[in-house]
Parts: sequence; structure tokens; C-alpha cells
Amino acid sequence: MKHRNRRKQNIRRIIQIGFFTLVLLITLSHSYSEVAEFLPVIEGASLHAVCPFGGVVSLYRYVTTGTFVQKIHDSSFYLMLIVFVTAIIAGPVFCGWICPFGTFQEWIGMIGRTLFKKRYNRFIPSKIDRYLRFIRYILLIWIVVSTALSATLVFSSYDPYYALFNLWTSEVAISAYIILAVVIIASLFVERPFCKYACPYGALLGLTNYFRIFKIHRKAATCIDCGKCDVSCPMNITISTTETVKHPQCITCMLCTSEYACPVKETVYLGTAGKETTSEGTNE
Amino acid sequence: MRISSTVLGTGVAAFIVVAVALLMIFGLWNDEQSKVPAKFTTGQFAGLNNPSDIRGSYTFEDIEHYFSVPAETIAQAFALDTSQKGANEYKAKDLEELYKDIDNGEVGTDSIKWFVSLYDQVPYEPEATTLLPESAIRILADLGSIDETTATVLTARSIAINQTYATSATQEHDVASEEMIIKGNTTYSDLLIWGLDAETIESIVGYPITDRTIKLRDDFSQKGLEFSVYKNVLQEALNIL
Ligand code: SF4
Repeated sequence: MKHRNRRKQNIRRIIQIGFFTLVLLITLSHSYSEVAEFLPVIEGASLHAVCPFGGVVSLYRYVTTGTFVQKIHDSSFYLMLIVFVTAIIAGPVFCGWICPFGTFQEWIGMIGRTLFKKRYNRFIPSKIDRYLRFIRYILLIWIVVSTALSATLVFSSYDPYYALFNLWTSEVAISAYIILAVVIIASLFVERPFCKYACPYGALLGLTNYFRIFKIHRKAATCIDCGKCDVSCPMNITISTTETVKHPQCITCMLCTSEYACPVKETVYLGTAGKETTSEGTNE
Repeated sequence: MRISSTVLGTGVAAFIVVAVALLMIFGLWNDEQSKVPAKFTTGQFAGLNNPSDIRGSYTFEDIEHYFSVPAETIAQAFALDTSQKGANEYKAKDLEELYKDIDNGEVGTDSIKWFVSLYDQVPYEPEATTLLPESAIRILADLGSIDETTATVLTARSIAINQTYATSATQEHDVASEEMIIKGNTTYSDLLIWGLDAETIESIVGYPITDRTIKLRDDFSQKGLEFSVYKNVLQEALNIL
């Protein structure tokens, strides 16, 4: 059974590596013509072109003038719509499976997990953590408003994602490098710190957790209250006391489900709120 | 209905890839900068391209395409050397670098917007510090785009190219003037003296101020920011003090 779980978890890893590599190639091809010649499909695209958040911050200008904010393209707009469709279906699955910066933080987190074992991702007291998680909403509002007012990408000077994929260029503001360094160090102690506390796009997508079609459910009838789902959650969400996860920080990584952490079959699962089955059993 | 992680992951990845592929096939996927400018939406010019949306990244060829002003004419107007680099290859923002030593105003993207609006005879309100080279005014007058009276008015806001280059190299930066208008030689110190706090400046430009004596124009050019855009935002912040 363990082999089956590992194989399935590998699927998320493979998809994450695939999209990370794709974005890396896109940014490299933007800087080095040799890479662009090798991969003509992505030639000419920039990181801004494949960032769905660019579409979000451009919305106001698009509606009022019919054009995009500087450096934003049609592609960002379409990606925003595509990601929004996936979020309506299954929540911020983009964050948990696709976003290269989330993937990068997870990779750094592997070092932290090795160093701190069970203490990893448990350093910040929940009282403080609760308030810190509001920061990303404040950032979302600030970015959308200031981008609408200035018609420029104000966030790019602070964006650690942009800094990571443009390390080799001279286009990155020093502030973005500093924030990237902070995120890397924080990732050694906290799982996905940027996603939790600062990502404006995650803040927006997370709102779909309230109304998404497929949600994470816990079947109370078969739950043995072992709490393994809570321990497994990278976003520190308490699953063991709820029947349906509607927490705005769930990224649909599925680590809490009966495929991975939950030892009881079909007890924690991703599904619609249909009639629950009664089958029982353990994974171990 | 339940979904396994395999179905979720492969389904979402396939959905994104297929959606992008379809957009590419139908020619809707554009991942390079869209240069289509905004149009006038009201009044007698409704439907015409609006020069106020000309961006620093526009080449003179783009401007020729969208505003019907020949690239050669723009190059002549701004006295650019076309022997090494074709007129159509220049970008609007190149002027900021080429004319960076002017102290009594600016010649940059805003000058291009102004020139194009005068050429096309559509409305545009340039910044108070924006200048046009005398050659641009001569060309506009010769083509009949502006009358004698307008030409005379514009001359007050023009620069003679040779004189500019002859004098600017030796001119030192003046201390902050009383008028609180950001010009080509304005430094961060000037902004601070005028009462704009460092935090506000840094939140606008997006990075910490490391050298207060550097000219904004030089610092922006090093950081890849467009002077005319950020200058306007800073000026607005000054205006509400
Ligand atoms: S572990 Fe479960 S609750 Fe936590 S983010 Fe992943 S899917 Fe959501």
C-alpha cells in the first residue's frame, strides 16, 4: 500500500517539476536567443506573459480603456480565466500543483523538514499566525488599486517570484531580491511562507474555497480521530474537526486525504457534497 | 462524486495545456507585448488612436503604424542620427537617454506624444516640463499641422539642440527650486527637501533610496524604469502635499 501512495504523490511532483521547468525555459529563452531557437513555441514570451496574476491586475485598465497594463499581454488574461475555471472546480489547485514559486518553497521546505523534523512548520504560534494571514489580502487590495492608478506593474519591484526567475538579468529591483532571500530563509522554518502570508494571487484564488464544486470532505462516521490529516497539511489547516474544508488557505494538495495521510480509506477525500458511501478500511 | 489526486493533477495540467494549445491554434494567444494603443472614446475624435497611450517601448515604426506619422519624420523632428540606426528602430524611450543632459525640462516619451498629437491634430496635454526640439516645431509648421501663432507659442517650450548639448555638460545641478516641479536634474534630495518622505518615494519607485544625490532620471534609467511614468506619479504625490 505504501508503494501505491508514493506513486500517486509522485504525480504532483512530476507536474510541479514540469511546470517549473517550463517557466524556467520561458524566462531563459527571453534572455538567451539560443534557448529560444531550441524551443520556438515559447520564443518571445516573458515571465509576465505567463503569469495569470497579470491578468487580474490589468482588469481595471482593460475594462476602462481596452488595453493592458504595461508588460501584460493577452496570454496573461487568458491564463487568468483558465486558472479561474480550475479554481471554481477544485479551488486553488493552481497553487498546490502548478505554481512554480509554491514548488520552489516546497523544495526549500524539504531541507527545513530534514533539519527540524516534527517541529518544522510549527514554529509560529497560532494566535500570531491567524493575524499574519490577513496580510495577503491587504497586499492584494494595495496591488490592484495602485496598479489601476499607475497603469504600471507596481508589484514587480517586490515580487520574489519574478526575482527568482530573473536572477541572471539586471531587471530585478533590489527590494525583490531581499524579499526572495527572506522567503528562502523563512521556507526553512515554515511551509510555503509566501503563499500563507504574502501571495496576493493565492488570496484571491483562496476565496473560491467557499464555493468550489469539489471540496475536501471528512467523513465523520469513519474518522478515527487520529489527527494525521492536520499534521500533514502544509497550510496548517485543522481538518479533523470539520466535515468540509472551506478554509481560504487550502491549496488542494490532497496530502490530507485517504490517498496519503488519512489511514482510513475513503474518509478524507476530494469530492462533491453527494451522498457518502459507507465503505470502510485502512490504508496501512 | 470523488476525484483522485491522479485525475485531479493530470486533468488540471491537461486542461491548461489543451486550452493554451487551442488559443494558439486559433491565433488568440499573444505572449508578446500588445502595442495596440487606447482610442479616444468620446467627442469628435472618438475611435482614433490616442497619443497619450504611446509607451516608451513603442518603436517609431509602431508609431508610424498606429498614428500615421512617418518614422523618418519623427527622427528628423528629434534630430536623431539615422546613419547607424534606422529611424524605424528608435524607441520613444530612447529620447530620455539621448536628451538626458537637458536641465530646463525634458525631452522624452511625453515629447513624442505631444509631437504626434500636434501632427495628427488631436488633443493632448503635455507635462508642464515637457519640451520639443525646435526642429520638431519647424517640421510641424512646414507640414501645415500648426499655424504661425501656435508655432510661436510652442517656441517658448522648445530647445535648440546644439545649444543644449553645448551647455548641459558643464552645468551643475541647482539646489531645489521653490516651484516643486520634477525635471531632468531633480534628485532624491530635492524631493525630500520639498517634503515628500522617503517611505512614499520608495513605495512609488519600488526600491530603497541608496544615493540621495543621484538624479532621478539617471537612477531610473539604471533601474530600467521609465522616467516619464514614474516622474508623473512622484509629481502627483508632491502636488497633494
Ligand atoms: S492538506 Fe488538505 S486541507 Fe491542507 S491544503 Fe492540502 S488539501 Fe487543503
